[in-house]
Amino acid sequence: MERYGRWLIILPPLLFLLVFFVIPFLFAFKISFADMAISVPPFSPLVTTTPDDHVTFRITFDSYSYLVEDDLYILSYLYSLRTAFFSTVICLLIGYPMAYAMSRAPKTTQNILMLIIILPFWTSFLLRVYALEGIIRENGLLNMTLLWLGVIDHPLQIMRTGFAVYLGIIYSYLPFMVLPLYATLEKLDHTLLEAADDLGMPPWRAFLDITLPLSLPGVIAGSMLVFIPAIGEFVIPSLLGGPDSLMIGRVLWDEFYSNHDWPVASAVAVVFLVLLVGPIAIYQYYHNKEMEA
Amino acid sequence: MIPSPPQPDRPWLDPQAKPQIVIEGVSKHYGGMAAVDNVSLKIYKGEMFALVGSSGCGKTSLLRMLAGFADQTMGRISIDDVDMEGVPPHERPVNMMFQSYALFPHMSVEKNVGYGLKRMKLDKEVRRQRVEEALSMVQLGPLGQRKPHQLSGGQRQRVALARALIRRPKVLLLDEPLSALDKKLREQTQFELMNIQEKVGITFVFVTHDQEEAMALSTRIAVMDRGQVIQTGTPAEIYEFPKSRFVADFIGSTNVFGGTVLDATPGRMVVRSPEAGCDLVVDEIGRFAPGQSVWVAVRPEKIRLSKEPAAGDRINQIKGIVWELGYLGNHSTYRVKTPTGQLITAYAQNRRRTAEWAIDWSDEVYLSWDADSAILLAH
Repeated sequence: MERYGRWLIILPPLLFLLVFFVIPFLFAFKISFADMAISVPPFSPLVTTTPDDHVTFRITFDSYSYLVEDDLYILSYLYSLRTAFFSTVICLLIGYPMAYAMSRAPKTTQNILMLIIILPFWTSFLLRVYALEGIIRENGLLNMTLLWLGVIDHPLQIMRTGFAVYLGIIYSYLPFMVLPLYATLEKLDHTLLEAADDLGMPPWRAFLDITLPLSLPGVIAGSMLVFIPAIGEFVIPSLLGGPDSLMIGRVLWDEFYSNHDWPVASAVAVVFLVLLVGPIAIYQYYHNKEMEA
Repeated sequence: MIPSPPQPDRPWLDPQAKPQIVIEGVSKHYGGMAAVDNVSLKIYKGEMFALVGSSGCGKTSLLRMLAGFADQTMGRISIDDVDMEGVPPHERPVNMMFQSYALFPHMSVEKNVGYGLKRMKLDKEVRRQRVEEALSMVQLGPLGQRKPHQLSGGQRQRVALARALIRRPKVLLLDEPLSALDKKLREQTQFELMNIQEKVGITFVFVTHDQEEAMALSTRIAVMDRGQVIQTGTPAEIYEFPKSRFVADFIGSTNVFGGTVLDATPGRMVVRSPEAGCDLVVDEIGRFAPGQSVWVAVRPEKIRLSKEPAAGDRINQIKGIVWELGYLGNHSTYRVKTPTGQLITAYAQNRRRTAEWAIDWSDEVYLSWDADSAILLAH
């Protein structure tokens, strides 16, 4: 009876994943082995039955080999990886002090600070990216202010650069870094730091020996929450980035909607997913370890 | 021949002795509230000194000021003649064992214990040896590689103790050292703690709300209430000669009768007590005058219970009915209702196995005590 109960509880999320993740992914997986075709849908069937009941399978790895042959894909994977990596590192460097300060603030202030961190989510993500464009574009708020102040004599080119992409990603994903960090730092037992102090360690050593290692689960959770969506980011590089900001999300979009090459687009998606499973597995590993402790 | 047991020394009785810790007029205010209010104490080297009181009495605040986690609002604390004002915890010659133990969860037992040596310029081999010594002292030798969450409560307590002693502090501060242990383990650990203190020979200052623990462990006790030290003394002094009704009630249990002094002859004071229903004789050389209202306090174990009235002059004898009876194995607790309606508690040792049948519920009994068993307390 107890075993049925357990299954009953995990059944809804299992069904959800099956319907909205596994089945669509299998579709994409299937399409990635097909040929491009001028038809609706725009790919060849894998299994065909001739009128005389001959069943033929047609599977091709062309899409995958195409990914390797044209260095556009490898370059954009690498570009995405690099962008996501540095965005994550910068988010961590900005987010850690923020989360630390929050966790040390008086309880009532903590709630206000938390509200401020979450506040941007009340506005649509797209609107916020457009607002960012309004600030950094050639005749935007930032350039106008700097020109007026006389700091610069001609507008800075920020839009359509890699810098703008970083700015957009870091701005958008910083809360995802701050919140899990805050959650781990907030529950850190303060007497541990007193104990370190008592045992002869000055505060900076206590931070390195106690606070930092114990906040590692938060660092990992925050990093995954920034890294995983950042690597597949499509909106920010399209709206803020230049033609050289070839992130994999944009390539995927172009293959589907501009080139109508569904098989290659699917192959890009499948490889992309496999590349992402690695970080997720690491995250799960640390998460489980934290649960055990 | 039986070897003589170790003799305790009593440096506080020696006017020549120099105290190791001097607390002078120390107060700590939080907002407008005085958590510690003008406390002065002298603690001598090698003492096992207990700060006792109910929660919120300021004992923990005082301990934290000794450790350096809080600064006093007023007053002075010095250890070995060094003023501790402004000295941060990591530079004080004291270490603390925390109530929650505060073990570092991500470090092994060995790393926890050795943590205090990391900033000391020590040879690696010496460091390893000292960790080993500390672990074997608390009998945790083979568990060095375990993480704190893999240990039992008692083992964690030992790790905390070893960690706090590894720097060889002049003073060890212990915040409720035994409160997280169950009763059996607590009794056993009490003796171990005393043995270890004897071995390392340093001063222990500990805080507890448990008066039994304080009595069992300490050389001297300071009883605190609302930020002030009410009385300081050896466990026996505190128990047998409480200076106030608060101390008499807090340390152990006691029966109290209100009354007025009739005859103030030193050594044989007579108190007329309407609560007791008779005149009580107290062997006391106190500063009490006739007509003064006082309390007569008698500890339950000092009261005799019998079915027959005592022979002789029959002083301090009250008749009553057994109202409640608690059989506790080693002794029984009787609650006897007197004609005046007061409930008097008396303990009877169960010297014979059938002792509990001798006096039963609703039996009429006589309670009596000697004149030198009671104590007079001022109102």
